[in-house]
Amino acid sequence: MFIHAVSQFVTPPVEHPRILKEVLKGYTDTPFRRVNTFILLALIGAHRCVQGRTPSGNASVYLTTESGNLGDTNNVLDQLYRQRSLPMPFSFINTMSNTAPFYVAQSLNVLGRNLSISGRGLSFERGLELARLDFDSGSVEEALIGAVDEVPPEGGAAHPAVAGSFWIYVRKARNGALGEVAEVRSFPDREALAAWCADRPVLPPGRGLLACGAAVSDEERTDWQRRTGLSLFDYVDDYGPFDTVTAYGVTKFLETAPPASLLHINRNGQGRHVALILNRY
Amino acid sequence: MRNAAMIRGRAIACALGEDLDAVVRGAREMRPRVAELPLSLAGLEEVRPYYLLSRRGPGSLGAAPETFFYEVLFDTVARALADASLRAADLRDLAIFFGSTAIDIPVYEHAYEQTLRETSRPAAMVSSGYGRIADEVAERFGIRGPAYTFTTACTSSANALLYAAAMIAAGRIPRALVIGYDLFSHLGFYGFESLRLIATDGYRPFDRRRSGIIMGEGCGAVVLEADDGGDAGAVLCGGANRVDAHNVTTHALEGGAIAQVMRDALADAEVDAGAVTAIKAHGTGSENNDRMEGNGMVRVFGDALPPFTVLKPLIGHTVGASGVVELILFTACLQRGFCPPTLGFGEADGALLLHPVTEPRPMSRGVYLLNFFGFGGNCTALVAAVRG
Amino acid sequence: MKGSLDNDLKTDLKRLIIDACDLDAEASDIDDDGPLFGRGSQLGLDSIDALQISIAVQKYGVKITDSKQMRRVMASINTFADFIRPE
Repeated sequence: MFIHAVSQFVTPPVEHPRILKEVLKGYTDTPFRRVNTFILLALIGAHRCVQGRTPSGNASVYLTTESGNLGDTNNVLDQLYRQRSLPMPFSFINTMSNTAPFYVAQSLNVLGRNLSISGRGLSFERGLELARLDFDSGSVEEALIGAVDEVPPEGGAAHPAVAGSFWIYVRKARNGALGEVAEVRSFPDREALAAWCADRPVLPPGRGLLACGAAVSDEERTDWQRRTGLSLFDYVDDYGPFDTVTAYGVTKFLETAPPASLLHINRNGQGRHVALILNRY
Repeated sequence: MRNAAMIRGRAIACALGEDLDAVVRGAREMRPRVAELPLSLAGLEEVRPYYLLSRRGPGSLGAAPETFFYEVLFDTVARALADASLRAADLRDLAIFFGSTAIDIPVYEHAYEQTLRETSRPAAMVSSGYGRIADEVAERFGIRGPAYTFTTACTSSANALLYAAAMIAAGRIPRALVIGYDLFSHLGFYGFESLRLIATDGYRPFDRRRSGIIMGEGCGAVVLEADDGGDAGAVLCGGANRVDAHNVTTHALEGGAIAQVMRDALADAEVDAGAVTAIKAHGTGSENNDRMEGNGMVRVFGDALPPFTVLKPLIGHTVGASGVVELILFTACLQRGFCPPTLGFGEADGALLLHPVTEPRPMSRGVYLLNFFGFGGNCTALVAAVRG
Repeated sequence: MKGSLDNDLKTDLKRLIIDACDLDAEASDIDDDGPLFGRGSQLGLDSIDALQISIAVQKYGVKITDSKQMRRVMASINTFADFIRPE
C-alpha cells in the first residue's frame, strides 16, 4: 500500500460551517450545500490530499472517526426535545457519519468501496487494517484513507480544542510514491507486542523512529524506547491529545520527516495495541 | 472468497422473538407483531407502525434505556457464543465486528432529554465514541481481539460481515464475532418520519401501492469461523461494497451501482449469476429503493431472475442491524427447508413487473445473494451458501 | 392581503428557503414567478429540499400533508405566498 499524497487540516472550533465552506472553495469549485462541519472537514482534507491528481474512478474511501458527526446529532435532539418538532430532514440524514465519505466520493468521482470505520482510541489504525486487507486481497487498488473528528462540545480542560482531518492517498503501484504503509498489526496486549518487538529488529537500525499514540503513558513510552532502541518522533505535544491525533502524527511524519521508517505504537484503554510501520522514502 | 467463513453460532432478538425456532415458525406462519407508536414528541396526532422487540412490555420504551440497551446486546451475544461453544482461549482471541446505524443514540438521547428537563438547558453532551459498544462487549465477555465498528447506515452490519469473512478468508484471524444492533430511538423514528419514509398503509415491498418503510428493532450476533468444508450449515462465500454517488438519500433509479455490487459480490464468491438459487432483496418498501433494486436485479439476471424475497415485513427494517439479523433469519429458514415469504406484496409495480416470493417456498441447499443498501449511496451484497 | 401581493412575506419566504436549503443566494436572486423545482428552476432543489421547506414553514401555521400538495403549493414564490396567506 504505497502512499502517494498526504494532507493535514487542523482547526480550532469554527463558529459556523460556512467558514469551512470558504476554506473548501480553495480546493474545489463544486458548490456544497446541506453539509455540516463533519462533512466539510472530510471534504477539505480529501480534496487537499489529491490536489492536482485524478484518482481512479474505482478508488475507495475509508473514513475513520472516533465520534462521527456531533453537530447535527445535537441539532436534531434540540429540534426534537426542545423545539418539539420533526427534525429537519437534512440534519437527520447528516447524523449518519457515512454521508461524509459519500460526499468525498461524489465530489472526487471515486466510486469504489465507501466505509466509515471506528475503534475507540484506535479508529485510524482499524481503518488502515481494513484497507490493508482489501489491498492484499486485491479487492482495492487505490484509496483515500482519512481520519476526521469534530471538536466535542466544551466540557473542560480535558477536552481537545482542535478538529482534524488527515488523509493519505494510497495506491497499489509504487511509481512516484513518497512512502508506504509497510505493516499494520494488532496485538491483544502489551506483552504480545513486546514479544513481537523482541523477535527481531523491527526497523533498520539508524533509520528508524518510534512514535507513541496519545494513550500510551510516559512510562510505557520510555519502555518502548528501551526495547526498540529507536529515537523518539514526538507529535502528541504539538496540539495535545485530540481525537484524530494519531493520523496527525502519521501524516506529520510523512510530510516532514527525512527518509526514515516509523514504528508507531498505540493502545486503547483496554490494552489492545496496534503497531504501524510506515516508510518515508 | 469462496466458502470463506461458516456460521458456527448465532442468536437473534427481533419482533418475532428470540428463540430461533420460534422466529422461523413466525416467518413460516407469516405472523408479524407490529406496534403503533404516536408521533407525540413532535406534537403530531398520528401514529406510525414499528416492529418492537418481542421482549418489550408496556412502558418499556421510556424506562432505563441504558440498562435495556446492554441487556439485549449482552444476552444476544451470550446466546451466540453459547451456540458456538468456543473454547476459552478461542473466545478470548475473538475479533469483534460491530455494525449499527444509531450506535448508542437510544442511550445518548435519553440523557440529553433528562438534562434538558432537569436544567432547562440543552446538554453539552459528550459522545462516548462509536467504538464504545464493541469495547463493552469485549469487556463483558473477556474478549481481547481487535474490534471494528462500521457506521454506514443500513449497510453497517452487512459490511461488518463482509470484512469479518474477508479477514477469515485471508487467514488473518480464525474466527470472528459479528454483531448487528439497532434499537428504537426518537432520533431515528422521527428522522425517518421527517423524510416521509414511514409507511402508513402496511408494509408492501415491491408492491405498486407501497408507501414506505416500517422500522424494526433488531440484535443479531454470529460467530464466523474458517470453513471446515463440511456438508452442513451456512457459509459466507464472498461479497462486495460500492458507493452509488447519485444522491445522499436515494440510489440512481436505473440501478447501475446496485447491479455492479451484485456482480462484484458474485465474482468475489466465484459464483455465476446462473447459479444463484434466490435473492434476499433489501426491499425497503420505499418508492425509490424497490424500483432501483428491481432495475439492478434485472440488469444482472435479465430474463433469468431467480426467486427473490424481502424479510422486512416479518421483522421490520432493522436498519444497521439488518445485515446480521437478515442473514440469520434467511439462512435459518432455508436450513429448515423454506424461503421466507414477502408479506404484504399483492400487486406488482407496473414499471417493474416483478413478483417476490409470497408464500413459504420449499428451498434449502443452494447459493444465495443478499442485498443491503443504505443512505450515503452505500451498497453491499453478500453471497451465502446453505449446505444443509 | 393576499400573500402574493405582500413583498415582505415573499422576501421572508425566500430567506426561509435559502436558509432551509443552504443556498448560496440572496432573496433578490429568487424570481417571484419562476419555478422553484424541476425543469426551469434556477435553484436546483429536490424532494428532500421540499420536505425541509415544508417543515420550516410550519412556523406560519401551515401544514403540507403530501407530496402532491407540496408540488402544487411550491410551484413558485407567488403560489407559496398565496398558500400561506390566501386572503
